[in-house]
Amino acid sequence: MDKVWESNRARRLCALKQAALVLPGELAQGVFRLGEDRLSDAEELRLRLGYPITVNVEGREVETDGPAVSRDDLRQVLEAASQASAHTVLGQVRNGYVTLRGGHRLGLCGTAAWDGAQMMTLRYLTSLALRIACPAEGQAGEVLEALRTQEGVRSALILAPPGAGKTTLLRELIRCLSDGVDGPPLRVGLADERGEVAALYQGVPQFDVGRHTDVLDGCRKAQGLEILLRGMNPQVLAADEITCPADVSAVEEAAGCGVALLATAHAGDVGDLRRRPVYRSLLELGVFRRAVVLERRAGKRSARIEVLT
Amino acid sequence: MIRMAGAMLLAAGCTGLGFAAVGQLEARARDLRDLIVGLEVVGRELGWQLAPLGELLERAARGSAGRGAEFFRMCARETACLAGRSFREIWVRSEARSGLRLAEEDRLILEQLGLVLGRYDADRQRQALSAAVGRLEEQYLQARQRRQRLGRVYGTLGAAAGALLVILLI
Repeated sequence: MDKVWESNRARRLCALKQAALVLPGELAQGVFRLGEDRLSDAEELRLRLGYPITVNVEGREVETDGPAVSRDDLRQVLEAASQASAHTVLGQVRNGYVTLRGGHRLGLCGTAAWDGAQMMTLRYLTSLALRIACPAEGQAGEVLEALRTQEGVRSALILAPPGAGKTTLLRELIRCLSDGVDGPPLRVGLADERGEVAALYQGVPQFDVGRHTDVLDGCRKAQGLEILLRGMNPQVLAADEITCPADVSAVEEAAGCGVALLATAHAGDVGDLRRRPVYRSLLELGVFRRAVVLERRAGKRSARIEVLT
Repeated sequence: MIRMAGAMLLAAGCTGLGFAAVGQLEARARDLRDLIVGLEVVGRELGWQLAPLGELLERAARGSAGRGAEFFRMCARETACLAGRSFREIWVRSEARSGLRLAEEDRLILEQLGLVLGRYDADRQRQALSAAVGRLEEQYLQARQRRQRLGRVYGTLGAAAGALLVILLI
């Protein structure tokens, strides 16, 4: 157990060092002066204009002794994050984040610049949040067992409030199905609109999503699911965060084609889901056969499976 | 005999200087041409694939030749790891380190382009690229005209100065 814990900490430290490559020298030095012991538990770095960087360790922000973050620093971090290629990340900037090599995510905040009805970019950056990605494997065990059938998988909707680990579980399920864990390998088509599941960086998934997974990112979920269905002949279609009617109709259409579906939604439980008009048709049509409800009890995460049809 | 040899050496030196001056003019035109070819590749690829700048510069290096290619290669390599530097710094540094033989006004055009590349959307970058290529083409034509006009003069002056020294010394 200690070994696993140690290796997770080492992995996290490694991930932090990789993410910190986008920081200007003095700011990075300030972070590393906190010491490896503390940094091994770091989840996020926060850069706010006029203040030293803070490191989020187990939910608490610890201030570094580096210099105050300047506007140039913020600009430089964004430039490094995009590898001096603003044109490749403009879409992401408009959505408020940039994905880095390694799957780390740079959240952006500042003054939005608009052209008519469309947000163009962020004129003045005021703060950045660098979330350190550290993939955790081996968390899908029981859920996978409950979803697997002899030849494939049952369609399932993962439910939980934000931050409870829906995306992590979805990613892990995709990897297991794609790599043939506990059954035959399946062709998975992943519509990764926000790039949070596979975190493609210059076309390469930064998280392991399995060797039989085809990823389409940077494209609206509804459109992405349609493209995957038409072009990639998937056995399983996966998408993160079904939120709007267009996503729901795309999912319904895919279900009509006999493809198994894996998706996530913000909801506390199935009852919560039934109360929302947008999901009602999904439940009535029996698109998903199982609901995986993620819960956190005494700091531990657990998954409860509910039979829907 | 020694006097004769010295005189011949001086004559050869002067002629060499003349040809070196011609070579400088030639080299500037060549480097400008290589730069233009590379920048055109960047503009084309930027319009088509919207690939990251490092990749575009790598392709420019493959499409170009000589010191121009070296310049693009250096930029591409360093863009992959900015390590706290801005792209503009890398652009200017690579220009100096690649040994491009440019005139001051050529450098200025290049430096101005470095302020735009990678910082704006693809359309704006393409506009800046096409403006820079247009201006560099003008510089290239001027450099060629200069080479044609002054090349013969420098060559002849070098040879004539050498001959004069031989006459004076012997």
